[in-house]
This record gives sequence, C-alpha cells and structure tokens, in this order.
Amino acid sequence: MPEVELTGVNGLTYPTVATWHWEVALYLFLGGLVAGLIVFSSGLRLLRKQGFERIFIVADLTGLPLILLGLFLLWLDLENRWNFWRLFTTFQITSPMSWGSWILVLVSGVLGLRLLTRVPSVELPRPGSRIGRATGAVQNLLAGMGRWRWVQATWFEAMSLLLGVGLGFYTGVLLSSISARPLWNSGVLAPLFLVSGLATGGAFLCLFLSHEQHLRLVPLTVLLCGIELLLLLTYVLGLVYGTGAGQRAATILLGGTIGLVFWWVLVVGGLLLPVVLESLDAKGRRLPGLIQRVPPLLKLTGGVALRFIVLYAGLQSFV
Amino acid sequence: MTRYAMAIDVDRCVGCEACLVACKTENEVPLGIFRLRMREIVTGEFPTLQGEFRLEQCFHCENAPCVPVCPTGATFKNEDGLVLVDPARCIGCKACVTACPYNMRTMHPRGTVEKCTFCAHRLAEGREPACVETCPSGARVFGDLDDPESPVTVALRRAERVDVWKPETGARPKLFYLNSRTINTDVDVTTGAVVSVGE
Repeated sequence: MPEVELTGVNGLTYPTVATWHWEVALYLFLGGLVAGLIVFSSGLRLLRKQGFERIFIVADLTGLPLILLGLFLLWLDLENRWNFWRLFTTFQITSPMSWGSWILVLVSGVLGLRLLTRVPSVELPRPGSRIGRATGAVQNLLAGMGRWRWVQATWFEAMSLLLGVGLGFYTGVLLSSISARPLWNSGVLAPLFLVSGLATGGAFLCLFLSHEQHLRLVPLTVLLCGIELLLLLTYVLGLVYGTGAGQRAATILLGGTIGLVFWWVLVVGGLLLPVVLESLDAKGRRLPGLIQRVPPLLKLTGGVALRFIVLYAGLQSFV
Repeated sequence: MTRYAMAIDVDRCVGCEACLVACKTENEVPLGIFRLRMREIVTGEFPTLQGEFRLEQCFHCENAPCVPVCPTGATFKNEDGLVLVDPARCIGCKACVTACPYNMRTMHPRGTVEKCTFCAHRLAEGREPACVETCPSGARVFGDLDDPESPVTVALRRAERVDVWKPETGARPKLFYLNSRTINTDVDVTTGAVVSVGE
C-alpha cells in the first residue's frame, strides 16, 4: 500500500460537477405525477369503474397545467433556452431526451383535449359585437370539442394509458441511460420511477376524494407502495453488490444528508407510514379526520424526495 | 478513412501547462473555463515516490457516450472520428456533460457546450492541434490511427506501455497515455482524494 497518495489540480480548470438542478428534479416528479394521473383516470375509465367521476374531473383539469409547469421547469434548466425549438425539428432515436420531448408533445395534446372537453358553455355577452362574434366562434369550437365523443372512446383511453406509462417510464430512462453515473445506470430506475409516479398520481387524486372513495382505492395504493418498496430494495441491492463504482454510489445515496432523506423522508415517511395508516384506516380503525388525510401528502413528499436524492446523489457519483 | 488520435508520453511531460495556454489562445476559450486540464498525481513510499502529470481533455471516444444522448444531434462524430458540437443546434440541456465519463465537457457562457475539438479547424488546414504544436518536450503526438506511418501510430508502436483512462467504461478513448504508471489512478471528482491507485 503506497504511503503517499496525493493529487493536485488547478481548481480553475475544473468544471462544475453539478449539471442538473432542482428544476430537473421537480420536473421528473411532475412527469411521474402526471403519468399517474393519466394511468389512473384512463385505467378506471377502461375498466368502466363507477363512482370515480371526481377522479376524471381532477385528472382532466389538472393534467395539462401540471405537465406545462414541468415543461417550464425543464426549459428553465436549459442553458440556451431560446434554442429549445431545436428539440422539435429532429428525432434522435438513441436519445431518451428526444423520445421524452415527443412523448411530452403527445401527452400535452391528449391532456389539452381532455381539458377542452371540460370547458363549460357560457352565455355570450353582447353577441352582436365583433368581440362577441369572435368569442362566440371560440366557444362554439370548445363546445364542439366537448361533444367529441371519441375523446372518451376506448381506443383513445388505451392510447392515453400507453402514453402515461411511457411518460412515467421515460423519466427513469432519462437518468438510467447515462452510464457515466453508476447511481443512475440501473435497469430498475425506470420501473421504480414509473411505479412511484403511479403512487404519487394516485395520492394526488386521493386528496380530492371523499373518505369513502379514498378507502375504495386503498388496496391499489397500498399495492403500489409495496411494489415501489421492492423496486427500491432491488435498486439499492444492485448498487451495494455491484461494481466498486456502484458501491461508492450507494454510500452517497445511503449515507450523509442524502441518506437521512432517503431513510426518513422516502422509506419511512413516504412509503411505510402511509401504508400503515391507510391499512389501519381500511381495516376500520378509528383515525382522526386529519390523520386520514395525511397518507397522500406523505406519499407526495416521498415522491419529491425520491427524485431529488436520486438526481443529486447521481451527480456526485462517477465511474 | 481517417481516425484522428492523440498520444501523450507521460515520461516526457514536464507539467509546464503550455498546452492549456495554447488551447485557450487558439480557440478563444472564455475566461473561467478550460478545454484541457492537468492533474498531478504523486504516489509511493518515501523516499521512492513517483509523480506524474495526467493531462485531460476530450478523448474523442470511438464509442462516445455523449453522442447518443444528445436530443438535437448537436453532438456528433464527423467522418474523421472527431466528436464535435454544432453550437447552432445545442440547446444547453447538459445531457452530454452528464454523460461524459471523463467530465470533460463544460458550458460556454453563451449557453452551449464547450470541449476540445482536436483543433478541427487547424486539421482542415493540414496543421496539428495547437497543444501538440506548442508542447516544448514533444510529449504530445497526433495523427491518423489508420495510417501506419503517422506520428501517433509510430509512438504507440514504440512505447513500452500504452494506457487509456477508465478502459472499463467501454468508451474506447482515442487519447492514449504512453509510459505511465498511474494514469488509471481513480480520483474522487468532488474531493480530489485518491480512491484507488491504478497500476
């Protein structure tokens, strides 16, 4: 073993290691959340489940604004923002980011159509005026869209479902395709992000449901949290028993400040605690009304934490 | 078919950093960023210490991880095997910066990616890269790997030892280190601490 191991480098010449910032982490969370909204609403529609009209309304009204917020954050993180349109002049088959750009266009289109079907028809003010006629034309178009029955057709729902799965999966592939970062370069990351997206999408919808409706979804939400825990375990084991670079990456994820967030905010607060609370609630244990509302919030916090810690720990890990 | 490559004879390098300065001047690299780096690595047991300079820059990898991740095709490989960036198409998404296993890409203040081009503009004029031309000890050699008589091919043939940095990544870099013992010394990029000494 050598006695002296020194390296020296002119700090001026060393570039910044952190390339992606909080905007990307939040975008990954929002992408997963919207994927969950689409999969839940289209899935329930395809299964012809009754009594979930509120889920459809919430998903239709919030889907587009949330994904547009995510896109805005992504745009903010670009260093050459006004060149963003270049993304849409090409399709690079090997680039997950290029796939994602086009998936986001399709998802935004689908969510835009869904939002338009919810636009209420309003009586025109001063229908004779020029502004009134223009407004009337727009309203007629929107009202017409509301009658577009094909937006509720089975093939449209199935296509939306596939797009939702694609969106959730892609948010993981975006990171896992980068082999220089051992913390990300795992095949488990894409399914983990997809399932986490479904869980957080479900949690978001539960915020708007009555207690009874929430309880009907509990078997599904608990199952999703269980699968996420298993995937998380597989992911961590893959790192711990992997190459030297993978093991070093695991120490970044599981130790220090990031480790604290991983164990307490994600595993305990974001997965175990909501599962316990929801299970107790579903079994008829009397929980205070406020506590009944906590599990979805905990899951959403865990979802945000997952993206932040994976992103920031990954940026510190190197082959 | 041309496959441009560079070799650095670590035995010859005196660590003067003239190559860094030549690169900045030739390519008008803005203040605060560099296309080339030099790392000093000292290992061993006193009094038999050994030190080396590891010069780092874009490795123009055969299997460059930065190329497939680019969403706009701004990062590409040209017919001479050089990995280049078209600033007009770059959106500054930093996917390639993140994907480079050598951390050799950085951002230009105008928002596009900045990296070594092996001085492609000079190659087009039949000249060598500025760092090669300026090296006072002749440590840097450049040429076409497919030409058996090119300076780089001859140097690779004559060297006692040839290494590439991080061969395990599968990137197949086209910058070779000659006669080195510690090129694959693994350094923590955040702290600069030696993780393991390569032999």
